[in-house]
Amino acid sequence: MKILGIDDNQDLLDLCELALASDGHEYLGVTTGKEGVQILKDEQYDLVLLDLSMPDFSGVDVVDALVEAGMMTKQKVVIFTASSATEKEYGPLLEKGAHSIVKKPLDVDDLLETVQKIASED
Amino acid sequence: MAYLGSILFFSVFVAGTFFIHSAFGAVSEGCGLWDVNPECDLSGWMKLFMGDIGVGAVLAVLLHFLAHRTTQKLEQNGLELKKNGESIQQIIKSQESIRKARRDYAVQNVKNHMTTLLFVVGIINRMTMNYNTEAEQKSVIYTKIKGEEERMARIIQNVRNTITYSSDTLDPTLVNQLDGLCTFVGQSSIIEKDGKLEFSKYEKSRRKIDEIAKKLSSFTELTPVFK
Repeated sequence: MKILGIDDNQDLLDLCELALASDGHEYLGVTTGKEGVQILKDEQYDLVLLDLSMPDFSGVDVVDALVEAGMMTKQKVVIFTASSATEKEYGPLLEKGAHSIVKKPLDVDDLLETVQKIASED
Repeated sequence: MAYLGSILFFSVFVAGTFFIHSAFGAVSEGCGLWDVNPECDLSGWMKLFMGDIGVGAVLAVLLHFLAHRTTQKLEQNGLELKKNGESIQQIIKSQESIRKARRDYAVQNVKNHMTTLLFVVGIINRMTMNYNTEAEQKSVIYTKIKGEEERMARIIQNVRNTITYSSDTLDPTLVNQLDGLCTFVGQSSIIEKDGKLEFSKYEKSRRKIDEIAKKLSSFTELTPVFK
């Protein structure tokens, strides 16, 4: 799968790359939401791993930008959020077309399992 | 008893000054008791009224002035105290909001570090498994493992820095747990045994990180407590 990771935590992006690349996926990580939206406009990705809590341009802003550009269904968007987040907070994102919500913290096995599950849906 | 003595002394003094005029102040011949003219001495009663009452009036004015000034000063002091109280309240409020902001930042920061730490121990564990199963490129994998160990050490140091910086805002039990976790995970080095690598503390490290992460997750702005 061609996967785009959007997260302000560079370490996490590097680790995701290590894990996903070793599992045979093509992965690119970016640290800002704006950059992520731009890349999605230019290229086709199968899956977006999007962190909800980011400074300046949050995960919600990324979803809104994709909805506005009519690109929300172009790829599957999985939202990564803090485990204290409530349905009230992430519910609207699912309504806007996000594929699923994954609560942090998750380990490598959880991530690979999630990606595998999404890949098997196609 | 002391009061009684004072009252008695004061009464005798006042009575003495009051009646001394009438006792020794004789009325001049051909002059009335209340006459005021150059040919007549003032009678005892007139001396009493014109002297004592005059002095009393001056004293009354003076005392009134002093009392008024004291009241004004007290009022001013009261206002200043009120102002100072308000300023202190504002300082306390701003200090409290700074403390809350520091605590929220620390929690958010440690949460992020826990997620990364959980990931990095997982990656190291996977790499050790790869190292043990792969026949080739063992040195490449080993170098990568060392690289990830360095990353882990850096994350642990960041957690330590965060808890040192904000230890006064966090629950002491949580600070101790985090410190213990940092020590435990920091010591979770890879051991080489019979040509194979072993990350023996992986499961325990993972569980400990997960527990702390859950504890941190129970902290929200609405319920700022660690369950």
